[in-house]
Amino acid sequence: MLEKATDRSYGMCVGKSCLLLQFTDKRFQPVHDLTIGVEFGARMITIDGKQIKLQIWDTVNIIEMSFNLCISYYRGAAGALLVYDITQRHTFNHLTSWLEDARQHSNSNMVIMLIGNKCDLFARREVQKEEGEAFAREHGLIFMETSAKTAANVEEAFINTAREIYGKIQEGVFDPTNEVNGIKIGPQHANPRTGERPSSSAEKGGCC
Amino acid sequence: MRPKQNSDTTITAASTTNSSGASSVSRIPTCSSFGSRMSVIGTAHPDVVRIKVYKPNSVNGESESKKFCVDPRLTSYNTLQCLIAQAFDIKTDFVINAIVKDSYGRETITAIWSDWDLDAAFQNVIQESCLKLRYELTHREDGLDDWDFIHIGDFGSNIRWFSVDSRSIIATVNQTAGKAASALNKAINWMYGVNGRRNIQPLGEGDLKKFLDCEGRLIHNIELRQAIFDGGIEPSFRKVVWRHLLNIFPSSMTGTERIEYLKSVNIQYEKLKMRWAHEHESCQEKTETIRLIMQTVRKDALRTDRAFGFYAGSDNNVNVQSLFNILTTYCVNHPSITYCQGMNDYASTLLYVMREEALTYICFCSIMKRIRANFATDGVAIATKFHHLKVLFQAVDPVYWDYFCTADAVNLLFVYRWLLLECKREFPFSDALRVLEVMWSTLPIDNEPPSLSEIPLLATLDSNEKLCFTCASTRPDCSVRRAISCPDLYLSTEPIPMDHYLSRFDNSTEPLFLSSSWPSITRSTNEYCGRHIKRSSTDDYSYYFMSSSQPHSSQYQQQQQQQQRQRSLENSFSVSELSEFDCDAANQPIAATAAQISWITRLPPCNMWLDEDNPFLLFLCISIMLTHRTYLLKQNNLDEQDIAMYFDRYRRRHHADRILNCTRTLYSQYIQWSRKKRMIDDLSQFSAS
Repeated sequence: MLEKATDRSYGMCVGKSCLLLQFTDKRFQPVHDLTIGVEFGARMITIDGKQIKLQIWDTVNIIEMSFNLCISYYRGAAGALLVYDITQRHTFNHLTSWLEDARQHSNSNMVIMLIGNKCDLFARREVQKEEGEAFAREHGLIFMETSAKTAANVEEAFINTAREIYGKIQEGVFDPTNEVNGIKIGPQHANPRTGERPSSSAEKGGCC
Repeated sequence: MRPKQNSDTTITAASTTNSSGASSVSRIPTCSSFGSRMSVIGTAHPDVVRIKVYKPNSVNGESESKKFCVDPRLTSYNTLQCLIAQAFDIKTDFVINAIVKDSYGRETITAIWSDWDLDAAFQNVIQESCLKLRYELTHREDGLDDWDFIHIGDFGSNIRWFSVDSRSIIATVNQTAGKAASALNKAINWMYGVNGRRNIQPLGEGDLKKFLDCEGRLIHNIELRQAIFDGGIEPSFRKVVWRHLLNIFPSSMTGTERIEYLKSVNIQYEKLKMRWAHEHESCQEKTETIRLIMQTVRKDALRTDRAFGFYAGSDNNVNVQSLFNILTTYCVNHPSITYCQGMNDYASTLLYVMREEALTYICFCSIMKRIRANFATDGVAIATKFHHLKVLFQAVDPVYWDYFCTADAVNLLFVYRWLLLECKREFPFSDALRVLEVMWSTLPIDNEPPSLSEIPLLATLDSNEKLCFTCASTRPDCSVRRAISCPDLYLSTEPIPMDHYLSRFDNSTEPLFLSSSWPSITRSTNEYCGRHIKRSSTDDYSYYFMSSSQPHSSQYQQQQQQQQRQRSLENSFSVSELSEFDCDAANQPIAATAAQISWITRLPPCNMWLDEDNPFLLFLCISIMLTHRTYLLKQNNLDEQDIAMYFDRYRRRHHADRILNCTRTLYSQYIQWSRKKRMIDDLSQFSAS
């Protein structure tokens, strides 16, 4: 899934790498290297009894990345997590332009989840939950507030995105035999445990 | 300065070799009577050099010496080692020293460690006299010495020995193995070669003096770099040597001048820093833009190498603060570049070595001068590197490449960080320093010290500086994509004229530079121009620059590319000028001489990678990938992401020494090939004219 977040120019770490680490390793690491280019994570999940391998790309934001790289990152992404920081208003203000970029470079059916991260820091909240919800409604996104630190909603955010992608496959929106959509059918005969593998190449933006 | 001269030399030398080297067996005779027939061909080398080798601790006792005559073009360091080992029946390791009499008749002892040293010793032999050598037995050290012996043994199998009497032997060297291999070895050893010796010591304090003249001028810059290439630098000594390695000094500065220069750098740095670090926080000068830069840089400074002791601990760590100061000063003073993630990694490395803000700052400016294109938003520079990398990788190891193709991983996305940070994060911090210095030693020597700021400290701007800002403002997308592009800078004491602003902001009238080489167009563009025009009387390559003294954008590009190409091989050519050119090889088709290095033959027959400004980095990336070859090739079901994650697990954990050795070898082979290719190009150009 594609996650993408802050505008580098404002250099706010909204917590993309932390979200990924929490999801794949179930731990929180407050100080870590800043992401250069793209880093990767993967985890097996089960939806409707099907084993699904989620492949998640943790990227720098679209401003930081060069155009060529940008195309490669979005190639074959079935979903994206768009992350802002609820304690930094400007990360929210830039959502529109990020969304434009993401839609421009990706499959039009890509599932996009909007995430307001750092909800544990409610005392420093600058963006109200209602604002996030409104934005998501307006642009047809799924919305959640998460905390990579307390792990609140992290699991749900990724799994819900995967579920949404899975739903689109069932509806026939995504053709799982076409890898351009970022979905690959696992070797069913060889390994009966593996069902479908929506390998959602994902991007995270920004700088965390 | 090189081409024409060398073409001449090549032809002369090549023809003499043809006439003298007709037989398939070349001789290394030991009878001393041979010496009287010593003749000098051309101006380069004598046919035969007489050598007298003494046993340890004996200088004049004839009974303890043996004489050889060798053809200097056939005798590599390895051959000499074999000869001596055989002649004296030495079973252990030994070193060879040359005994040279200086003009006062005093004897000085110079160790011979490599083909390079041996060549120098040959050069110094005066006609009709002989080269005096003495070997010294060394105690065997654990580990790698054994390797040496196997190596010599292998080589020795190509030499046949005939004992004439107790003091003489005749050796014949197998043509294919001896001549070709020795020429090959020599070519490799001359530049960035794997020297015959092992356990190469890092460059220490005593060693630097060898490269300086009596007043401390760095006169043997290339040799210094060769030494760094071979063995790296003693950690405690990095602070001194990196300054030279990073080209921060104007050329031919004496030691005293360098101290003065660094003092002035210090003063300038403090002034540049004051552009943002005002005491009076409320000052109007501190614009929104500067505040944004500070905010961005602070975030990243706080998470740069914090796991490493030097930057560890609380956020108040003074080193973290210094890192912040350096980066902020740089960004505020380079509005056309601004801050990009990844710069912090470079600055952190430099600060750790330099320990002083101002010194780190100038080193950082120098690095940025070279790599700023990599941070450009158009991504052209990095995309070019990716392309070159793929071409080379494919040639080096087609099987492995096919594996990546099958796994649909040919994008090599995980290499992005390797390229952007020059593999700094792929090795443990202290090992990364070694890797970086070895890599930097292969880069062209830049005699122009970096400028500390795009915005001059002086109140007046000359036309050159205006040009610089004109260029800066034409950077594609710079104003659109970068929120922090141009901080509104002014100091009440140092007013900047209005036209400076005009030139920066008036984008509409400027031509667009879309080339990847754009960022290297600096304020010195005019000077480059001038220099090339000046050089053109002796340099065939410069004719491009003669066309116009007021070049336009496309010509700028051409110049830059041309210049880059020239520079990318400059070091290696300078070295070849100092020593015998590998003339035989030049006369043969490339494929024949490169037969032993089969991957070279797989390179597509065009020149484009000669434009690569850091080929060593590409070979470093390939070497890193090669270390995981065996494991990966056994895995059948990995996809792009699995492979990427696999490599990522080795972040900061790669084995530097092993990878460096592999890289050195590949790089040497590549450089040797490029040189030959260049030479053949020159020859054809020469004969055409």
